[in-house]
Amino acid sequence: MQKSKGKIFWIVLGVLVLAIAVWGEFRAGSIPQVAARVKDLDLPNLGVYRLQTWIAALSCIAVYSFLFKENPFYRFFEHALLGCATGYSCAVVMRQNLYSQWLVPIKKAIVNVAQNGWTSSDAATIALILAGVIGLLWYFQYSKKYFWVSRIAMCISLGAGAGLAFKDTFNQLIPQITGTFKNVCPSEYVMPGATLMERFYMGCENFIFVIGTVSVLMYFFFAFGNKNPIVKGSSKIGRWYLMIALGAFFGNTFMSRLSALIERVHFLMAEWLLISQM
Amino acid sequence: MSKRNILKIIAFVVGLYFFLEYILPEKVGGEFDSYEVGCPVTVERSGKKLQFYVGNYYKGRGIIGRMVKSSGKWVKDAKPCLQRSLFLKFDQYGLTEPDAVSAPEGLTLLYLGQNEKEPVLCYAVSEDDGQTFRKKGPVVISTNEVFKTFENAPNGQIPDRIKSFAADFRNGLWEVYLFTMTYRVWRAEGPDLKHLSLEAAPIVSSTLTEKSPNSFDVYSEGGQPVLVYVMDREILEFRRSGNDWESKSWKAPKGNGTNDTVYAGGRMDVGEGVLYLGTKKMQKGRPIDSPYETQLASVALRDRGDGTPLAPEMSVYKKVGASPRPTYLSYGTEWAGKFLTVVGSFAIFIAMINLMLFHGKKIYQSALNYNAPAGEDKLPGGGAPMRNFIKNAGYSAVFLIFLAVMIVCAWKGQTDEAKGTVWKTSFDFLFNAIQLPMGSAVFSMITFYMISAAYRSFKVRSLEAGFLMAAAIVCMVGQMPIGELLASLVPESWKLLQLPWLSGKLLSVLNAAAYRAVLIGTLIGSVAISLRIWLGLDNSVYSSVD
Amino acid sequence: MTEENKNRSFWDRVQFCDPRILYALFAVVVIVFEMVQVKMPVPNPVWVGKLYDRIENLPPDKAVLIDCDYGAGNRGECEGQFKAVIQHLFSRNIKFMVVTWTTNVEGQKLGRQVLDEVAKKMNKVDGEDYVMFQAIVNAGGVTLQSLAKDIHGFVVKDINGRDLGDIPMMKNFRTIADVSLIYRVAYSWGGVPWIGFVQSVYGTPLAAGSAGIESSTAYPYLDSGQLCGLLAGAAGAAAYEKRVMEAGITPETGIGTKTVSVQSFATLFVVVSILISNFAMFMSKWQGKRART
Repeated sequence: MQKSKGKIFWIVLGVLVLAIAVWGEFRAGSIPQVAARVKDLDLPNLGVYRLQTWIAALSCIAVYSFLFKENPFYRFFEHALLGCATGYSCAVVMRQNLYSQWLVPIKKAIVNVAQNGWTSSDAATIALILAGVIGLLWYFQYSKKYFWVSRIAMCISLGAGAGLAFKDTFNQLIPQITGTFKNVCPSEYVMPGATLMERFYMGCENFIFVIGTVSVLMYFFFAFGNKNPIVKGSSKIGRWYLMIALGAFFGNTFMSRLSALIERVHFLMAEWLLISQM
Repeated sequence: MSKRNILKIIAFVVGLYFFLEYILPEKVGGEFDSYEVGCPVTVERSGKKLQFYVGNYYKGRGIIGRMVKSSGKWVKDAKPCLQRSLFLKFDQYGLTEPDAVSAPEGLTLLYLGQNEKEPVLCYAVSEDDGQTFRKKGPVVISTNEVFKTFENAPNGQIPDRIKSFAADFRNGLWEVYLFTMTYRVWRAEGPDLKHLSLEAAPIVSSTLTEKSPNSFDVYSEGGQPVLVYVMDREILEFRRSGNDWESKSWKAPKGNGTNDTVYAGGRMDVGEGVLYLGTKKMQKGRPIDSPYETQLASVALRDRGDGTPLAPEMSVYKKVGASPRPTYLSYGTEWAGKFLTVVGSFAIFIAMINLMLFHGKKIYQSALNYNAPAGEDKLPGGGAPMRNFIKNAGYSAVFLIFLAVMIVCAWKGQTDEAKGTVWKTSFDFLFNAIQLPMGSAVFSMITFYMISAAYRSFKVRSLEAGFLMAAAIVCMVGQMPIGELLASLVPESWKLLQLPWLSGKLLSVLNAAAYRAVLIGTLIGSVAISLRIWLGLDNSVYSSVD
Repeated sequence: MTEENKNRSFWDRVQFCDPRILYALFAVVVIVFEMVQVKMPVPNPVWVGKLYDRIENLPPDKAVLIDCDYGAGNRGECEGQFKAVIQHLFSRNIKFMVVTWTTNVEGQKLGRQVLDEVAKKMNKVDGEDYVMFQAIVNAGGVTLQSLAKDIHGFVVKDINGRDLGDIPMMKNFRTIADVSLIYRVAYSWGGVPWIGFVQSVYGTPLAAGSAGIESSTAYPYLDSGQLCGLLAGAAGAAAYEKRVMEAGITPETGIGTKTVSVQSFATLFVVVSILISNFAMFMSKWQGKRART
């Protein structure tokens, strides 16, 4: 009984949406925003745009249908997405990186050397052939015997990453540490033109900030026991700060996801069903 | 030597290169004014003619150097007299537009300190005629109502800022003239530079010139200020006549430089007239670093009376200092960038190949088992062979078809030149019909789960949970228009009840404080991990080798 | 209704209600407010204003480097952030270059669509007022170092395959010293190490347009001055759009403003539902206590 009721609900809803969509299709030609959109997207005609919109709408619905359960409709679009995304990435890397940033300059340099003799910049460009050789080593991971050769390429990347990490980390870290030494009692030279009250507020704000950073650091400090009342107290305050930060993080996360949902709903309503403002 | 050790050595050598590249200087040697010199100002002190100028080691990072005139020649000090500070916020990014004033407490140098925010007018005092200076921090000017826009512009209004300034010390009083972005000139005076008070109205309230001058200075003549504006090579002097300003102008002769500039602060009384110092820019054969080389030169001379130019003068007296030499490591960095980019490019195809292998195998196996009786094969399901085949390999086929189509379409249709071709249209179509909507929908699907999770588990069971929930709610509502709407119901002064203000403080004070601590921890952790990988202590990287 | 549910008290049933009811109510709220489109006052975060003022005071002879790295999933937030800023740059005649990465090719496509659309409306020419580079492989900091030292030598070509040397506007922009601002629009603003390898080394200011998720990690950097501006989520985009519209650059606000008006009510729905569930918890606890005594 309950199941059939549910089925009826979904059928009615589906028919309703379909009816609105078909009704929208009849109106599409006469809506100026639709024509403007076709122009913006550089599409040849309205038909292509509507077909694109329909498929896009179907793929959205396919994804949302996963909320109930996995189904063939979803699986079809899932594989199509995977194919498109992989294909696009590879095409870009092939054409925009390997072809035009690597092959073409090397070719140019070789021609240059043949015509005008060696220069240091040409030599450096031609030496990039070595990068291709190392890059090809990645594919040894398909061989069981020579698997370790593929690790050469990986070790070069890892070594570079490890060496560069020092620069990245210290350049980020030092301003963070110096920035924590805040003035909790700003004088009028530090804040020229500010009233005593404004300076007091600033001092309080800075004090709250410094206490927060120090206490959270204390909370994460496992080197000594937390029997000392100062350590105990400050790590408790640290927990409060962390909770507040996590709460803010949750709020921001939710809003981010929500924006994506609203963007999709906007697409479905405004571009597909044509019942809200584009 | 085992394979593992070979790999470790490779990683170590590559890591060492980048580590050395970081700790060793990119360039060695060179003087502090090797990139550019400019902004000369002159002053007389203890009977000596002194000159201060801004020298740059690197574009936009000014350091102030000193020169002394001895036996008709400017001699440069070996060391700069005033450097930017590393930790004080107001002149972290360099010093510009100095002005030197001889005051009883010592030779005072005022300058605009560059920092990540707006430039700050600062000063430094020297007791040894400018060989060394002691920084005294920003000049403090009491702001009046009119001038408030200087510090904090009200919303939507472009703030007025100090563009240039001139200072003087007369009769025991400091005078500072501020030239602002809106071409107005304000005057402030006071007993010392920490207690200046601004006059209620600007002394020049409308624009005297159509264009903003390149440099600005004030000197006094018979107790009255004379404003000097320099526009390119034109020097204008404004004297007060009644309520207006009367101008006198003349042009400095063009030298043989590409771009000669006169500086108002480089005004010098010499025997026969007034000499202006400036810079001369010369094209130089360093196309990437800097297309020009600047030199300090005496640019224009005029007589004291009616302003006629005397014998045009253009003589270079200071070139840029010796430039630093790039090290071999820094040459290599650019090449290393290209090298690693290419190596990285090849890695991207591994994902594609793995996916292709996986799906290809699936199709191959399904085809092999096409006629196998249901139940005996390893594949799930039963029924008609065709149906079985589609069920097992259909999706893989979909993947491979879309992959192939997209590679071809994207390769051919990704540039603007392909506009109108079938490749571009089908590439756009595939992207806009499948990739874009699905990517977005997948990302947004989690919203629903988050709602039910929040409803079920966001319960105030303890004080900490209360903090978590309150922070989430304040952060969500405060950043949204609804928070602004609620805030409009609360009086402006009740900040704590205004959600937008509250969420701003929550994020930028409480959240930032906590996250900074986490950040410091993770950054230190990342150094530790890098060290382990670099020194070959982390064996997990080399697992399944040997 | 299941047997178990029947035995529960009213408040317990509220507390543990079927999530599908929540989903349905939520969907109704989103759909209704999407159709109604209520105009609301947009908040004005401090860091949005700072970025606006910075762009307002950028020198005209230098370029801006925009790192466009957003994808389909965060288009609702980042497209507004990207569009409003390029409209502002166009209106000030400041030239800009757009960098994209192969790790997220969607950024290139989406950015290109927006760029073409805005440029057409504001009569700007590709190659003279703006340029979009070919996608770059993000091999960590080493890529950024090379890019900063020699843009022409490292990037080589723009997206249409022209040499950078042949592009008119690129003649004056060769190294990071010719860049007055880096603006990264992305899901994760810190995904490319601009701070470690460019901002801290060359002092080029960095601003970020970030999806809401990652925006809370940006505040320590804003405090230390390593970031000079932040557009956080759709609210940041809406605030910037409002400023751009008030300055007379565009006649109307864009996708960010539309999103936040619906988002407001959806957020309110969630907040109210959290409060209801808490209230239900307290009530059922209180009832339980009363029954026991």
